[in-house]
Amino acid sequence: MNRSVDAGLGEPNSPSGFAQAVDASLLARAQHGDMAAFATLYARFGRACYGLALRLSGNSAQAEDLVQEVFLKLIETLRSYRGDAPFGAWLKRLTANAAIDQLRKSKRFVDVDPDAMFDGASAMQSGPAQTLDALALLRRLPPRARAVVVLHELEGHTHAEIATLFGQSESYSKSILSRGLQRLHTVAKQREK
Amino acid sequence: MNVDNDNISLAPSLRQRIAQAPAEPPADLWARIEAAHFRRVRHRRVRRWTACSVGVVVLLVGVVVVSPHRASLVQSGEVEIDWQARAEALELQWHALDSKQGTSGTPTWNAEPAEVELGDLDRRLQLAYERAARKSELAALWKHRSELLDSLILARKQGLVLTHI
Repeated sequence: MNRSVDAGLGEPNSPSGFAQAVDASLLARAQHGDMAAFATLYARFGRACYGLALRLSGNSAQAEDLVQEVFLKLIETLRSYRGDAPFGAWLKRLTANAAIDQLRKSKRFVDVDPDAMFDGASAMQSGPAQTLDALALLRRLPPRARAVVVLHELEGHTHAEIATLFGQSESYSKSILSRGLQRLHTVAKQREK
Repeated sequence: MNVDNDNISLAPSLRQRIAQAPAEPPADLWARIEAAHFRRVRHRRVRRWTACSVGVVVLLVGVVVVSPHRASLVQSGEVEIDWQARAEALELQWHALDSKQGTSGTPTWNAEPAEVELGDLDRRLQLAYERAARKSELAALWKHRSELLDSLILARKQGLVLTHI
């Protein structure tokens, strides 16, 4: 089941965002270190990359840092890209990995126990100045739960893939997803009242 | 922790809202990325140059400090010389001279006594290896053999008879 929605751009599975095709010649130029080619790749994928980073991190400053980190890594490692997977999928994986690495480095990632994670997050409220938008909803989740929800529900990752990314079991991923979704639905209903 | 989530998923309307939420990166983000890239490249270049410079300085210090020290060790005989390799090289040289002499007709010299001494030395070496003699003893024998071959070569070049060294 692929519920992947191209984060940040229009209709699900539209040929935009990470799903865009990339010319071989453009990739070849970038692989030879042509910065203009990288600028073109950024122009095409920067927004999708930022959208995913924003959903995963829940914070625009962190999302900018993530995009910067991902594109710097792209500039340095594109030579190793062999085209086994579509370029967009490769870039999406780079972004998800970078976001999870960032989560892992932050102290907020230490709560492995789901109960402790969600108890701690009960105090995480959106500020009064924040609009009641979808991203504010996501910010009501603990960081790890937000990442699991985004990767599973929006990016189409399986529990096995998420478990590998987080270094946990599949049942752990399922448990976090379930609690995260319950929290999201509860908050959404409260806001609708 | 065993929560079965198979029946729960993000409500389609909520998924749509999250997926379509505006997410526009700042307009100057690419400029910042490019600047960060060039900064990294510059830092790496500086680090490489620094490493090369340090390497050259270390090399120069090595040449200036170690070489005179090594020269003095060679003079005082403290540097270990591979007498076996030297003896083998000299033997090749000697055989080359020998074959040259053999093709040129009448020999003008006679190295037989020294060759007997060489044979005797070879036997001593053989015995030393068989009884697993110490390295220093073997080195002394190989050194003696080198000196003998040196003399043989010199004598053969000058057409002299070498009786002993």
